[in-house]
Amino acid sequence: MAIVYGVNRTKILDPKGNNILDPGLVSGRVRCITDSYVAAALTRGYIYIGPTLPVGAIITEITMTDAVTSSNHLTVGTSQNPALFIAIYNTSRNAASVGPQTAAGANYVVTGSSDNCIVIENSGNVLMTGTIKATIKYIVD
Amino acid sequence: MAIVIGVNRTKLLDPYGNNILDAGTIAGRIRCMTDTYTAVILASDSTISMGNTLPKGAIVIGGKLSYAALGTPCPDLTVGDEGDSDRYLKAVQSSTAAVVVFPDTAGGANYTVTGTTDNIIKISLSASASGVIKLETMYIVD
Repeated sequence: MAIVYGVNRTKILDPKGNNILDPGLVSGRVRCITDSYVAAALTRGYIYIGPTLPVGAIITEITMTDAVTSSNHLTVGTSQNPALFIAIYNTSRNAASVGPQTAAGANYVVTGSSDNCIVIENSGNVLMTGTIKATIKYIVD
Repeated sequence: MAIVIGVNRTKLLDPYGNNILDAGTIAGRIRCMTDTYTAVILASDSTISMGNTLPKGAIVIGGKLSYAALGTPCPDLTVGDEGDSDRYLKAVQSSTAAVVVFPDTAGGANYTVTGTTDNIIKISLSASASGVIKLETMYIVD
């Protein structure tokens, strides 16, 4: 039976030089952004939500909820990768969808290169009508 | 192709007067409230008030309801408040132990407490129950 250590735990056990962890990686304070958008026959495109995130912020969770009357296929990510956190979100689901749902989006660290604002993409050709809400949890320090 | 902006981001990009966002909307500090109730043949149609009174303006961002199998006749549980008994979670069955994440309603997502009949989180039961019920509620004030 093997006993091994995670990347960060390994550094914690040997805290010198490059092993000193960035703020927030251990006992980070979780911050929260809430935003919404009321769509009225919105065409295919992007919805930018929340503030500009600082470089180094770690996205820990994104929750989507909607009261959309149309059947749309959305993704949640950044302008660089619009499906980074949630690859498929079908509207009118009557349930919250919690992400990240992709390995790349898990504990994603904002680089500041086209990824510091959360983007929802209406990726289909169906016009969207109704309200969507997003809750974003992240760590800075 | 459209490029549009969320309600709060719109205000952030034009920050004056009424556009100044409430504390906590951006980079809000998450607070967590937990509570437990052990039901012993709790009567049908009961409500269980959980945790502290939420301050006016608090934004409820979600939480978890967990429960043991609550016995026959297996009540449905909802999470809400006096003003709306299933504001945050619509009816879930309690035939088997489970952990359920809320909100599952758009109305309950990022709900801002008005301080009227919505500042105490309540669990409602459709039938009598016996067993442990736990609630974790996360919210933002500042």
